[in-house]
Amino acid sequence: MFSLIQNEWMKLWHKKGTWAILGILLLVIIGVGVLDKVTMDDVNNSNWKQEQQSMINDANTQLQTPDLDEWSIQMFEDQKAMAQYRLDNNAAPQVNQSMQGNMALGASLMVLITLLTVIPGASIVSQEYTDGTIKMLLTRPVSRFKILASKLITIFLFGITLIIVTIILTTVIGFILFGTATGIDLTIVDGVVQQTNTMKDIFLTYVYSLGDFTMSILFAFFIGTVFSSPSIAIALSMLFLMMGPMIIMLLQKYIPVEYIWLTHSDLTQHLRKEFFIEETTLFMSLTVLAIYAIIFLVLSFMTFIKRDVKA
Amino acid sequence: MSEPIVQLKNVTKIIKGKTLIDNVSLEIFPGQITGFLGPNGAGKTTTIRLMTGLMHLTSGSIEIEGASIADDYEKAIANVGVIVENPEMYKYMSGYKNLLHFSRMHYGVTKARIDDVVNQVGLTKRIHEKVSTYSLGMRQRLGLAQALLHDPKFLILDEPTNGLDPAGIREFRTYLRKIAEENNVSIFVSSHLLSEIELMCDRVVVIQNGKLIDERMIQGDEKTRMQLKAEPAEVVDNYLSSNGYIFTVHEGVFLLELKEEKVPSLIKELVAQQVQIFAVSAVHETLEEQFLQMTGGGQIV
Repeated sequence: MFSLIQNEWMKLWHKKGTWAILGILLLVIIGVGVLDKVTMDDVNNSNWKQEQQSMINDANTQLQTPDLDEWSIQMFEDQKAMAQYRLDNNAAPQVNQSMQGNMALGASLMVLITLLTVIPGASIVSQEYTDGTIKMLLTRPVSRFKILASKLITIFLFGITLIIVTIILTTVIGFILFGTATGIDLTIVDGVVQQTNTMKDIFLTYVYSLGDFTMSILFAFFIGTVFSSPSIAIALSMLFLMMGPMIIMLLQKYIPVEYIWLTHSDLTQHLRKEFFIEETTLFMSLTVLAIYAIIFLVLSFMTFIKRDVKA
Repeated sequence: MSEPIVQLKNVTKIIKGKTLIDNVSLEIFPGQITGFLGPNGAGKTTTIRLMTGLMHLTSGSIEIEGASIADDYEKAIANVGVIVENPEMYKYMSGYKNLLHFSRMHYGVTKARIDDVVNQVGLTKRIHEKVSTYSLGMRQRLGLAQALLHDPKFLILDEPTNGLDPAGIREFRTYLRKIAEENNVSIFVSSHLLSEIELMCDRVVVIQNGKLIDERMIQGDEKTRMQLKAEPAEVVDNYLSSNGYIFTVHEGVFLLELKEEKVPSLIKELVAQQVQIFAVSAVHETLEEQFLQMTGGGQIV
């Protein structure tokens, strides 16, 4: 099995397209970092205590206004609470871009990474058919199951490689260009001011993005295997990835969309607590995704193993 | 004769109600080169795809060294080297990387073995260049190299000499004969070049409309016929008929069934009868003529 994965990995990196994919990712990461650096106003933050004090005074003045609506009252109260927290705990705000900020940007690139992994995912099987190399590949003392499994594993390894490259590169570039954050971000949870754990947020964004990542790859792999056409597989999976929420909105009227994987594949909904359709539990989402993942896998393997090769 | 290495029993393949291969049974023996002939669409490639497991059987069985292609594929195919139609290689990699790729799918193919095979097919100089820069002939050689990597006991070749120049074809033929004889490799080769099959093979199997219609050994199976030009005709005619020869006369030329070793004695006898002999030559009925007779001519590639 290891040698089969080694084979697929070798073939993958001998294609120019693979290097183009890596190039696009590097360009985006470096480009965004540099652009941030160039357009950034370096704000001097040494007199932040006076600023926070004036924010409290400002909020107090605003709160005096008669007939203030509830939403504004909440906003000014929060502003006051946060400023007070900063003064009490000597917690300066982070005003400029930082290494952490750049790393958070990396986590938001998961959609791009998914798109870029879908391309080889859709073609790794179908291209063997279009090139006619499938007959050389299958007439070996290796089961078709193992051959397909090695291809699937290789694609996930490729995607994971892109994720690791992104994490390392956004950290290094962020550190070189901006340095580590000196200030602290605050959030209010249930009326209590808390320090934001940026690292935890970044980590969670990566983990929850794996929903779309996994489902899109499995779907592209499935279509590529069943239809032996890389272009159909790439087009369909990209369409679903980019337009997923919209398709769900449209279908909502006609079918119970809570049983469609597209409703659930973006797991960051649970992180943001904002849902396309209606609030569901993480358990429900994971269950639906697992069922579809199994369906895609079973159909991929069955067609690949049963098919008569005529290419 | 020794045990067959490959056995096809009542092999049938039906696709969408159409019977492509109809109850074919065939045995292939070690050290023998079997030619596989048939008009276009007769089922040659389908048979080969069934034998290599690329297609699944509708009914019947195929066994290679006792292992069934359907139930024990990995064991059955382990001793088989395959070229199905054009050997399509990964064009974006070098020839060497291609061989490395396939070697990893077999047990015990060492780097030294790869170098050895590359040398055998004469690709040593260009093996590290990308396959996309290879000529068709070089791709065929690379195709042969990948089929020989694991030292198979049975080689299946579908149109192996496509794209080779005459010298290349000759070399290829000699090479196949060599591995068949020296390594006792059994070879099953389909080709549309009848003359080539005739020169290369020990035995020919003919398929038409999915059925095997003929099977014969090439050497020794043909009747030897001699063409004799001699005068006076009456004397020759008399001598031949009184001595029990089977012959026909056509425009003063006698066509008679006669083994080669009997030719000198016949000439001696005729000369003794004052017959003037102008020419004696063997009539070689080619496989092509036989093939055309069998398949009814027409649609042959």
